[in-house]
Amino acid sequence: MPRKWLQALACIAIVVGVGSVSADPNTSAATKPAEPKATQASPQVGVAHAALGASCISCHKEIKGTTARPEHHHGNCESCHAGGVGHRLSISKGESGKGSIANPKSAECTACHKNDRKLMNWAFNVHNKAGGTCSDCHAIHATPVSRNTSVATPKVDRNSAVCIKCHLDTNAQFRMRSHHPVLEGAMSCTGCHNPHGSDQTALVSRSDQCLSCHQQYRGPMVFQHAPVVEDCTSCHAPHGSPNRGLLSVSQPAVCLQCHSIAGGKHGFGTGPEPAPKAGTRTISGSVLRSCTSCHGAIHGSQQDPLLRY
Amino acid sequence: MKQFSPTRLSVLIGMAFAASMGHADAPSPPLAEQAAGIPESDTVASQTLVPKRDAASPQDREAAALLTDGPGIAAGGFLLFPELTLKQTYDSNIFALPATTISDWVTTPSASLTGRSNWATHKLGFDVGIDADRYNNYSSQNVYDYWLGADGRYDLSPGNNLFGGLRFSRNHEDRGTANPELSVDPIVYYSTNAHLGAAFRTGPIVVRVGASAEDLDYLSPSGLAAPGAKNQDDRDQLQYSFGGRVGYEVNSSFMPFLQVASDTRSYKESVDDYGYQRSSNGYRASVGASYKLSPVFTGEAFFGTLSQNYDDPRFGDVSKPYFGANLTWNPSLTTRLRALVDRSLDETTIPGASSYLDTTLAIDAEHAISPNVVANARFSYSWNEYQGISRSDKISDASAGFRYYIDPVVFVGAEGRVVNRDSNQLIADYNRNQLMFLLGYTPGRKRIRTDGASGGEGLLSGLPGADQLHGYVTPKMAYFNNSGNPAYLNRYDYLEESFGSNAQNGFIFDLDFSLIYGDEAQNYMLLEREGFGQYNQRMRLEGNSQTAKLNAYYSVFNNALGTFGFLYNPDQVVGGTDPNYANQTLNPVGESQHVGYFNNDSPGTTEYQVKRTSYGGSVLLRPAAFNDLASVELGFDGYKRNGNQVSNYVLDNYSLTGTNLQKEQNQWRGYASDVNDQAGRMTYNLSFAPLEDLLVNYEFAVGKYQNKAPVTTFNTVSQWAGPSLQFDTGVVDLNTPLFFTPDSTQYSNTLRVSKQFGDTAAVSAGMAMARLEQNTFSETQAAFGYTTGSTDTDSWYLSGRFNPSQSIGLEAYARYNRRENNSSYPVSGFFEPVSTYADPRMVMPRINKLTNMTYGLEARLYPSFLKTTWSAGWRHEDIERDLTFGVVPALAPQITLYGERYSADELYLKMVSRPARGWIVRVTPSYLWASETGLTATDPNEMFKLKTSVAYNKPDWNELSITGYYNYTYKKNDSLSYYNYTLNPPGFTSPQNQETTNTMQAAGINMSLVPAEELKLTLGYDWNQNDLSAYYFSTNRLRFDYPLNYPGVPNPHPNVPLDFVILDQTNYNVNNHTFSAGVEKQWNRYVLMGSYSLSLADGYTANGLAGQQLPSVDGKIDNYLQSFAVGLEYLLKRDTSIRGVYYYDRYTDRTYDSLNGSRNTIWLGLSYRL
Repeated sequence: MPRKWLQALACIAIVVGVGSVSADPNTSAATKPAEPKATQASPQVGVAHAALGASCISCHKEIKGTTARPEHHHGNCESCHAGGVGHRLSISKGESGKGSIANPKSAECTACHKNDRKLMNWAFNVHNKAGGTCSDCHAIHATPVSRNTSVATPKVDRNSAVCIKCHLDTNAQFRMRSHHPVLEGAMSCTGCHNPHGSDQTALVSRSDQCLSCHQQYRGPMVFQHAPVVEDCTSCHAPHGSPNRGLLSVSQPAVCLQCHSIAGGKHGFGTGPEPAPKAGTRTISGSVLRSCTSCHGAIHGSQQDPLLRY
Repeated sequence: MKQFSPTRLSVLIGMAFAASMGHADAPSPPLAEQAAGIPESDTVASQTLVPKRDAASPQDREAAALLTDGPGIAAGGFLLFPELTLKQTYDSNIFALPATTISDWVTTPSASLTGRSNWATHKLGFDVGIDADRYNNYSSQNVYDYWLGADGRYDLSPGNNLFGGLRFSRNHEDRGTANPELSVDPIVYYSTNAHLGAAFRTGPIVVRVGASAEDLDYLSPSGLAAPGAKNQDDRDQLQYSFGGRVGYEVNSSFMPFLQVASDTRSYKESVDDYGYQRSSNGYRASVGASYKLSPVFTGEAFFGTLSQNYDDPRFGDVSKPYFGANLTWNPSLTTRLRALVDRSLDETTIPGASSYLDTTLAIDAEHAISPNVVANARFSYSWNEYQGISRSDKISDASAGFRYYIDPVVFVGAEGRVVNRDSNQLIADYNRNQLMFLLGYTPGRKRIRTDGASGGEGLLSGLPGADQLHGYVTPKMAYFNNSGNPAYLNRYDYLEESFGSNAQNGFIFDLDFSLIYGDEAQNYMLLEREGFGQYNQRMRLEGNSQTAKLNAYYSVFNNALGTFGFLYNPDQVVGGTDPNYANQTLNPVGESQHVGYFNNDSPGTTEYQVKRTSYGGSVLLRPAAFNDLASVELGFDGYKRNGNQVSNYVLDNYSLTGTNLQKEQNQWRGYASDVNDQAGRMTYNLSFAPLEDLLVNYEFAVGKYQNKAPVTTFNTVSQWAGPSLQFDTGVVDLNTPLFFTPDSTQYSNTLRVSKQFGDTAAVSAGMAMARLEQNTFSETQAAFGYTTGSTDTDSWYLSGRFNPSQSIGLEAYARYNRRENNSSYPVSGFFEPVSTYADPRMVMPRINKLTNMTYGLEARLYPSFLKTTWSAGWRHEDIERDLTFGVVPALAPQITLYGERYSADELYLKMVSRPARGWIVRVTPSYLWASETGLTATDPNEMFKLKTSVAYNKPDWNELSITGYYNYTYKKNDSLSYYNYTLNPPGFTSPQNQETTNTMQAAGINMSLVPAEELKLTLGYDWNQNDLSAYYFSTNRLRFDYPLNYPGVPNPHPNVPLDFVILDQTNYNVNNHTFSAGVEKQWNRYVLMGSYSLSLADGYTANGLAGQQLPSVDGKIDNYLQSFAVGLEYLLKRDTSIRGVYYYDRYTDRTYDSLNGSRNTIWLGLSYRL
């Protein structure tokens, strides 16, 4: 039984080539490289490619031995890796064969995935413009089956594990005292970010993006708080922050950017009318430590213009 | 009462009405089938009298293979029919009520295995399964059923055999039964059924004799509405029957017969709770014929009489015509039609009625539209005539649905069903609509094409191991132990023992798996789960084929949100509630005393947590399904939150009665508020490719948010607080809600178009329109006439890219977003620009409209010989805010830091260089300047950013990878000011500027090294710093109160100006350091893993004057989190490994040491690779 499983896994591991091999019952994964007729221009492209596919696997055992995505057979290896004939010729002459195979760039992938709506704006994507290729993130030969064996990030989802390999500064922010629970597996980078999209082609505001999960703040609010309407990141650092509530800057500093502290309700202050000059008395620490202790509806209120409830 | 005994169903009935729900020959699913009049034979005799259809006949095999049945998995001498299904049902009337219906969603996972022998002689079959109904809102209705049975036939000689069977099952009565018990819980009963018989043939004469018995044991539910109706034990009974059939086989197509059977129903309690003796005896006698007009047209019919005599003299004897018929017609390999007529006499518990006579007509159709799609439709109509009372019911049950086989053995399906019971007693009427979504796995089904050929092409053709399951299964367990205060650790890693509710320490059991089933044609189905206890788990299902893709997900995450924040609540922190302000001597001024008294209205609550359940799925029909021209996707995403959180607020002084001190002591309050909400978004997406490289995409989405938490009002608080808190009802409305969160719905339409022109150019454009509508309003909102809450959002973009050569690229874009507030305004007495001293006051401007326009240009140069890409770009952004400021008393534009315009330009450079093999250097500086700014927090008038990174990768066997980065951002806004408010009385003469500067830096270096074979090391250091400086202003009165000129209220101090003073330039500066190290070593069968991370934060959040006033736990951040892990994995066998990992986590807070806590966790798992 285990041998059968391994054989099956090996067959799945063949990304391309053996799919069309199946048209020729003689070309299984275990056959030797095809006879020279496969290197000549053969009118039967399928047969030639089928023979070629078997040839790739006979040498590239690392592909054969891994469990490949079963859907990526594409007919033969050469549908993504151009230059197979030359590569085999090179090897058959005793050369290393290096450099004779073209590893696919994004253009090869998008040639088939061109009608995938998620790649509509790939041309404007920052990953693409930074020189990234599909294979930087997508393991084409790997199976969707996976087992997270990391002890450092045992709970992170597979998508986010790819992102944080490059976005190290963001990974560091996820370890701050207050952070979105990406490393804990509660959510994924792709829950907020579209890795194939672009800011230029976004049709939602930044706040709308946050509110898709935090709909209790979506409103519409009667009494609005301007930075909440404009941009959640005006107060919050969404990846991580040393402050409670993902505040980029803690209270009271975050509030004092726009607000003054007046007398009356806010502690000693300067008292009610008749008012002495402002700043003659100190403000209570109880007030300064947390504006939201009183202004509990800081994201907006359906009832209270002072955003207390 | 309708007794449901599956063994008494004729096989044809069972297949006709259960097959579409996934059970080839099994009990019907728990929802309403029996209530809808699924015909049942009232005696066990029918099971002995009606020969079982041989499902292994060639006709059946062919038809079954195309439809929802299958030829089975050959296993030894058996054919196995395993099935896993997951059904999601919307039921509009879960209690089958005549009015005021209650709807709910029900999730039903189901697993079954049926096996039949394929021996030449003798037969043996078994059937085992379980399913469970889980109600979304009405968990009291949760119920599970299971069954286990076996039957067989022993062939003495051709035509002569002995047969028998035994079955045990747990069932429940559907709400739609004619059962007057209005129980809270569903009524569950156990059934034990046995039958035994013999069949003989002598020439054309066929004789069958047999006996059957069924024991029914009812369980009493936990709560009932009708008094005196709780006991279900009075329904316990034994039913048994003896019977025989004699047939004469005229020819192979026609056999008339005569059959008789006894029917005894013996109740274990001689008298039921209503005083009736329900035991009875009877018989059934009929003549009929079975026919086989052609291989595709078979059936049977009979006619006779039934009689039943009851022990209770008040019940009259029942003597009625008895008849039945069934027909099966397979007009083609892709179509199967079945019809049925049935009559039975069924038990009931309704007082005064001995039974009810059920007469049912049913038809069923199944058609394979394509090799992948099977449609079905059913209709049945039943008359239930109660014997002894005047009640008569007519029940119609119609359904239609389909199954789409993503893979020959994996399907998704949907079905709609309408059930109506029309009774001459109105209380028994009901209408019930159900919508079911089904996901199933039936490995016993193999695809057979309509041309008769069998499938078998693709990658795995001819190879062993095809069509099998691969992946991993890892059962695991953990022991955890918290010490100290687990508040911080619980926030992000909430653990609770699996059996029990101990969150301090305990054992957790869980199961991870990642399974993929792929077939020869590269279609696959993936199911995976990762769990770390019940409060952190996720599941994913993915099905993929050339033409379709299915995705579904489910996750649960619990975090003790409020626990961490709650500990910073005013009454939890020394110094948080400043006792000085409770002292009238120290604070004679009066109004500020409220900050000395914090009232906790939930003093007994110390656990705060919110559990978030996320779920969703989508079905995508790929371009291959539409000749590469289009694709369609339907998706749903939703979440639910349950738990509680801390809510703090302060009341107005004037809203309370009593002395000043009494009022001050009651103003500042907090309580544990319920969190109970859910959101769901349905998305319909259509893509169309009318031309080469041209893609048009349209999406429509509807998202609904519902808040189900109870509304807390002033009245609620008044009840919690008792007599110490007295609202002034002459001033305030006790129905005023606290933190009211309304339900809302958002509709959005999006249209996108993109066109590629080879490698030369690309153009993309899109537009969107969305509307957000408030669906529920508070009582006070409604009372004031605030009846519309709505915002409209419009967006569009246009982007273009042009590559005049391989080394040059040009790009331009524009993006627009507009948000318009269309909510009710002004609303007199609630929200208006002119108000009185009593609320409301226009303390903030109303944001009527927000418009953002951004556009830019970028040029790229990437000559290949330089191995460097240069980009230069310019971006412009305009923000327009249409604001309505109030009339006094209100916040005026001049004394706010909120302006109507922002206009800024930004220039940037990007360099990406590969100076040598393995090296990548990126540098991106940018500079922004603004000509107008409107909001301190979002509109810098100057910003400089620099992003740099250097990476080196050495992809040889001693692999080395190093990445370093440094990011710098400097933002300044010094153009916003408070300036002269010139209305009478005059404002201050010198404007005050707000000057904020914010510097953020981040740097890090991370290394991954393979210094020796099978040894991997990782090392990393990251640093973040945020340095913000802003003025700390004080004023001599609340800005919106200036100049204290309320209508009708004379200004007592007309000449006192509004006085702004900069008290301090408070500085916030916090550093975060993260160290991480990891090792992985593999030798022989062992893998040793270790990791350590330290995240350290330190700095001050406020200094100067503000810092001096803050309690000791604030003003400063000094904490660190350590995580240590060491693990060992041992490869037991080629496909089995055992793994153990020990974790130590510790949070130390040096400013608030009450938060210190640590946790030890050890995980053990056994991983099996399929």
